Amino acid sequence: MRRGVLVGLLVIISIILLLSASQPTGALPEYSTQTGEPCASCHISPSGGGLRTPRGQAWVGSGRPGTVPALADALALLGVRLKVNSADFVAIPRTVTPAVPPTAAPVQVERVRAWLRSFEGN
Amino acid sequence: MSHLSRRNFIKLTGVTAAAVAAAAGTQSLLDHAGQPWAGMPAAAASALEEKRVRTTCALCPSGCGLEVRVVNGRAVKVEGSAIHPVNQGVCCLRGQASLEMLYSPERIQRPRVRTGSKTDPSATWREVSWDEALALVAGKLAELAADGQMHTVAFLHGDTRGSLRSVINRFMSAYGSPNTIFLESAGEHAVRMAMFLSQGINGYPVYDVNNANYVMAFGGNYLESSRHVIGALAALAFMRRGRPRRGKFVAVHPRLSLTGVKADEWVPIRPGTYGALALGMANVIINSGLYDADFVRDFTFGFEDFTDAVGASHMGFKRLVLEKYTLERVEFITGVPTADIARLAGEFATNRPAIAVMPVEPDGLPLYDALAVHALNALVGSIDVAGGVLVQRFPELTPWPLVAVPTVPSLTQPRLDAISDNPFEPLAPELLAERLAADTPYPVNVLFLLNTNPVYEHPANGKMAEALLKVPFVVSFASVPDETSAHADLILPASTFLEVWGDDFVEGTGYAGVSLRQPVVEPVHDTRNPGDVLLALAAALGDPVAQALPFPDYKTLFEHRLSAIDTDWEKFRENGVWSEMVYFHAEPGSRAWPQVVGRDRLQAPKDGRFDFFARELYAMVAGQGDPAKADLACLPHFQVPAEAGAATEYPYVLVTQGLITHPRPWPGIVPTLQESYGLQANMKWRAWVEMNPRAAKALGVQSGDRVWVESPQGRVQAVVRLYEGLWPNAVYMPPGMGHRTTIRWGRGSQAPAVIGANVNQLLASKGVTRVKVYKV
Repeated sequence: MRRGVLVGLLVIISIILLLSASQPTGALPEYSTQTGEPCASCHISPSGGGLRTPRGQAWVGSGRPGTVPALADALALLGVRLKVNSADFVAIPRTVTPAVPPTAAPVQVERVRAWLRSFEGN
Repeated sequence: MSHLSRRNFIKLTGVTAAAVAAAAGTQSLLDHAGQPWAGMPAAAASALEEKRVRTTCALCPSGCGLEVRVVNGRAVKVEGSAIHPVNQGVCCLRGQASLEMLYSPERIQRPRVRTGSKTDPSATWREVSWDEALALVAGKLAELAADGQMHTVAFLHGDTRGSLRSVINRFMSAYGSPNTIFLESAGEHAVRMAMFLSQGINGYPVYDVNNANYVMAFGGNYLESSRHVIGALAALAFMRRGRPRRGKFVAVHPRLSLTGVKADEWVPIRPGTYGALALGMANVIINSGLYDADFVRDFTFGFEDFTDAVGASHMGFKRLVLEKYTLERVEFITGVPTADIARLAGEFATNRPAIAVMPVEPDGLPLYDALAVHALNALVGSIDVAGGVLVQRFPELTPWPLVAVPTVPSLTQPRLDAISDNPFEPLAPELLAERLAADTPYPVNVLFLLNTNPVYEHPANGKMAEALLKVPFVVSFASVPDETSAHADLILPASTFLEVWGDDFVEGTGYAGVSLRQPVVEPVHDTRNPGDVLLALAAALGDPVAQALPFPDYKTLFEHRLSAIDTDWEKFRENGVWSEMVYFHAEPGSRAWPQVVGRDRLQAPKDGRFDFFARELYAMVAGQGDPAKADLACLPHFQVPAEAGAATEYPYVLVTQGLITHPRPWPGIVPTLQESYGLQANMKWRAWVEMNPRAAKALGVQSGDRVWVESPQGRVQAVVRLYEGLWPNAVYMPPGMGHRTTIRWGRGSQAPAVIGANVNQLLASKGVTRVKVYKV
């Protein structure tokens, strides 16, 4: 019985040692310590892990340096230069167009069909 | 009781330590595999060359970034690219198994031309050089062009990636044929048309599940076979466990799929009735005043009854839903209890942002089902908000070279696929086959087939094969012999995505992006990129086709197209992807709002309003027949779907759902995927049919019995699997099986053989398919 317990203990120790010999993968608190940033800087989830933010992606893409790049630098690192005017997406003032009732149009079945069938993406 | 002696303890400890050391050494060896080590002979060290190449998967529409480890010129491992926005390091089973496609023994190794007639069973294939093959095709096309018969050349294709579809369209238009035909799946076509007719966007929707509080997936198998599988899996995990507020995911389907298992709630429903459930929920939401009244008033059309410009009054969505879709009626149609409908509607409307995912199944009335489901998104104001339905953006590309293509009469010939008077209906492949076989509206002389296998996907009782026999010259780009290429006259084998250059637009993120496809290894066989083949043909044909596509190869072409993107190309090649990374939501009434509502409308007003009443449809149906029927045609509604087969003879309804182990564009056998084909059912290498145990008991069949499953279209054999998670009178069969192989894949297997059964042999092209089941 005592022999069995000891063997069992040794097996458990072996498993622990084996597990500790494997390499760490994925996001870890060490990264947070290394960079001085909270998990949410690099991950969408505040608790870390899973999907990365643009900053997180840029940090991984640049070989995990000591600091996490700021958003503008992160986008530049990823080769992104946004051309979007963010003011276009804000409704100040909010424009409400009066509803236009439907009308019968000349039947253009073939034109519509050709246009729909020439769909090139997504 | 035995005692452990000191000697034995030391022995045991020694053995344990040795085992740990050996394991750690093995780990170290694994970590450094492919790298030279100290003391390694110089010749051996120099012989090991390892690299990692980033590329883009092409085995489903997700377009995930991959990182492939290549040792000594041979690809040995595929992983997800950590910096790709779509999958962020994750790689599904299909991507992992893609090396089995690259090195598949089934692959067609070089161009081959048929010797003898297609109807002669003794006819064989002769391998030819690319020069000979291209000269053959170019000669046929030039001959037809000289006779003004360009319209008799048709190009049938399935899903394509990146710029390739534009290349096909441009090639065919410049040549002078109107017959570029996209064989889109009926379910995906319905979703695209629903987006177009209601929201005015000609494209597939993007669901921002990450930020949603409530997601209800109608039909399909969202986590296994949607367009953005990896994104969907990651988003589901995040919405439920990765953020402070946990979201809820509901799956609606007659079968408890993996999506249903992973969901917070599975709602079993009668097959083909998703639209009725959505309208029943809309009834509750409207009746309870839980809808987004401001959004509905200012940014939608057709919610209330209205009067048109000539003074005629029309029914609005609200009246239709309140009058026709009472809870009791919806329960009768769908089989979902009234209490559940009311609860689901309440949860959906009060846990915003909420998303109703449109079904992608051809059962029932797919367009109206999709319209009804998408109407729920508008009711709760989930259009282009965080956690709602987004519009996929694409990068600005450098325009094509300007070319004066002469207007030739052949371009104005009727299209082969101009079958229905309703352009919003999906193409019916069996009708296309009938027209091809009957030379209607004219005989087709040359038919190209790319990324599609219509004889397998739409067998239509052999009509498709008959149609191909009728066409004198069929050119296939198949990579492995499949059911359709068996009827070809010439095969120009396509390289796999791991051997070619290509571009791929990022999808499922909302923001624009381009993913790079680059050769991981040298072509294993004498195969080519279909894009390169079309460019070579363009050059051989001369102007105006050569002018339209003046590029020496496909890589030069997409580099030209992508040169408009303001990016660092070195970084792009290194990362394998460029994307904007940020999605800007257009607030209703903002300057950007017309880009997400109404952008693509043709005949309906671009007034920034979501159409509950489809004005685009009204423009086409107005004045034709009964006005009340015309109104109904423009509103989401439910009709009892047509049923192929009488219920008395065919008592069961056949349902099917895509699986993650099914690589749609690859008809060959992938052993790893076959080994895990029915992950949930624990079925592999053979067809199975799932039955509810009650139905099976009534029929006297048991689990493991071999049965015939027969519909009015045909019959196949399968093994019975009893499954409680299935609508009582439904049976389920998996898609993607039933391909013939000439390879003996393992001990006990035979070659040639058909692996599994092709469920398409049973399915009707429209409505609900009924089947009967009986023992072999």
